[in-house]
Amino acid sequence: MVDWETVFKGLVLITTWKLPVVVTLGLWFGLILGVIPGMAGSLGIAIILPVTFLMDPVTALVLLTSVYTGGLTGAGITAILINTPGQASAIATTFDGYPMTRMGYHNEALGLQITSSVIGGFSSYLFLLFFIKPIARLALLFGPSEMLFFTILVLVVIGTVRGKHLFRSLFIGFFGLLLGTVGASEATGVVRGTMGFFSLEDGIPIVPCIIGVFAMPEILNLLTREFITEVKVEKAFDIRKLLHGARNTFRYVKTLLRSAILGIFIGILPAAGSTIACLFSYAQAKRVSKWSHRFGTGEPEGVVAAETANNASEGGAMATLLALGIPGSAATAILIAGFMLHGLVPGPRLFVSYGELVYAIICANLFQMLLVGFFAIGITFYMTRIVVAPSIILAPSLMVVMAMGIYSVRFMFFDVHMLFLFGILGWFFRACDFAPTSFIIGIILGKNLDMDMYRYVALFGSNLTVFVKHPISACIILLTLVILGFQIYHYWHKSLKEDTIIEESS
Amino acid sequence: MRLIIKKHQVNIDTQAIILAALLLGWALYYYFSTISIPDGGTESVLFIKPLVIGLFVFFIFIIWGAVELHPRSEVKRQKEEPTKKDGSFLHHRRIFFAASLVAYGIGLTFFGYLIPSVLFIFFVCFCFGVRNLWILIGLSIALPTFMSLVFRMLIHVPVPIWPSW
Repeated sequence: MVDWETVFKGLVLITTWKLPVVVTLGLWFGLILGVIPGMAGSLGIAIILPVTFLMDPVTALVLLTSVYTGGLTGAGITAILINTPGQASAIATTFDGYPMTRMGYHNEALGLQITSSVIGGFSSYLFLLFFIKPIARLALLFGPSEMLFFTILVLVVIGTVRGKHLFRSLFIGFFGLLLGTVGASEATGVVRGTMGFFSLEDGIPIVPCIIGVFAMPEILNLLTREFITEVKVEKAFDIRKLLHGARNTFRYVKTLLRSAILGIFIGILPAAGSTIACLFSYAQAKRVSKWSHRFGTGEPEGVVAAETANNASEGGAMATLLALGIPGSAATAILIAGFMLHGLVPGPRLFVSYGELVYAIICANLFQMLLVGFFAIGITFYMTRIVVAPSIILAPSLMVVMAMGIYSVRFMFFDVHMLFLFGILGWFFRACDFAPTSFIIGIILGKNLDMDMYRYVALFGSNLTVFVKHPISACIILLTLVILGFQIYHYWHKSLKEDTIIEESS
Repeated sequence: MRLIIKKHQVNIDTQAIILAALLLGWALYYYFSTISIPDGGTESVLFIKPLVIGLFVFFIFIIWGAVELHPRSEVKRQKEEPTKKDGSFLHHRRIFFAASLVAYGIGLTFFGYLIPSVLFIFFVCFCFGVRNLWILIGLSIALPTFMSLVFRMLIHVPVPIWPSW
């Protein structure tokens, strides 16, 4: 199951003095951004991305994943102390974490939160270490038709997960696919949709597009507030109580296990991500607990369930990213940009060509998970004071940093213009509930799918029955139809119900 | 947009419809501009054509989903609910920031990195109410200068710091 020889080669890649340095820096940066409400992990990765130009691919990717890990862990700290989750993924932590703070148990709650996060994240990367090879083997069976239908399945899943806006998600996903085809066609050589811009002949630049769509709306949202948050933290810090909380985590072994498994599998689903993982895990813990009536009033098991699943989803999301090249969240989408900057394309071929690099990233992440707990304990209370930073100074400063970073990719100010354009467009996508993740998946896969389509027609002509003859694509089509059918039935049922209510009330 | 028709209130999510219509408009332009290319244009829309058809079909569903019908009794309750003012793009800060970004983007092309970046930070902070001179002058000069030095000297990015003319 595990190719130990490649694992050792990967370990050799990371046994340098650089690893502890970049992991420390990345975790600190991630933790700091994680505690600031509104500064999502994706923004942190976007800011740090230009710095990675100086580094070799392994060091760069380890730094980026450290920021990601730090961000996920840090988000729970403010959720407990000031009832404001640093990221949406920590929303379930507020349910019991903040009531514990109000009762004076904030140190214990932080101990529970940090330990659960570490256990969740560590177990998810252990899963990745043992199962990445079979997942990558399965991904290698994906031909052009499988990839096309899998993309459509992913877009449908994203729409379903997001609730009522399934068609908006599909629309924006298809639009992303369309935008991905802009530029010179590899099959016919015809230059399409460039609107006279020579810089678009190679296609829409992916890095500015990803950073624009995910990071800039965060900045635009910051603008309406004077400060990131105006709540000050003046709670006493007691390391003994914090460690007591950390020890208490092991009283909930069943919850830890269940939440870690749920987190990993929900993380694998594109777009489901850490928010759904923590909410679902919390709901499950509440359902099966003997003390379910205490949930929401400061029950430690609630904090454990939410935080374990939250960090466990990270390994699941990385499995989808590394094996299929499909980002499950904003942060993993920007991680794709990090891979691309160093000439690596996540997907089925990555494991075959750079297996040792994949294992190096996994091993480095296991190392990160051990360290993040210590860092979080050390700087928890000091970091929370950052939340009073004025947003009106942060916003223009971040734009100037990002502009330089984006320029550095292709040495073109045109890419900076694209960053601004996609940033504003990304804000509208969010405001109108068009899933930005669907858009990015489309834009990343558009060019390859376009080429695959020509290859398919050259091989089989316009014979559509070939799709059904391939067992994997037939299964994917069936699954897509089942999900779509279920969703349409749900819509139909709901609108019938609403009609009845309207008729009754009128 | 809200309409009241007899005993019903109709809510229409116009923002979503307009955005989808604009994107669909661009998709149609893309399709027709490609197909009209004399050599190989028709063959180059093999993947584009089903996508545009898909977009059109989903657009109809978006319109369908953007219209909501509520009984009149709910109207009063909805009026009482506070609306989120800062959720709109029309918030003065967002409009100003977006306009500044456009000016900044244009400035970068003609004046290099340093001057537009200094002016961008200075004006945005000043217009948003920062009056502390240390922040206004110090930050607006220090940050772009630091970025220019790091990227030019350490990372060897050939960024045009000054105007090229």
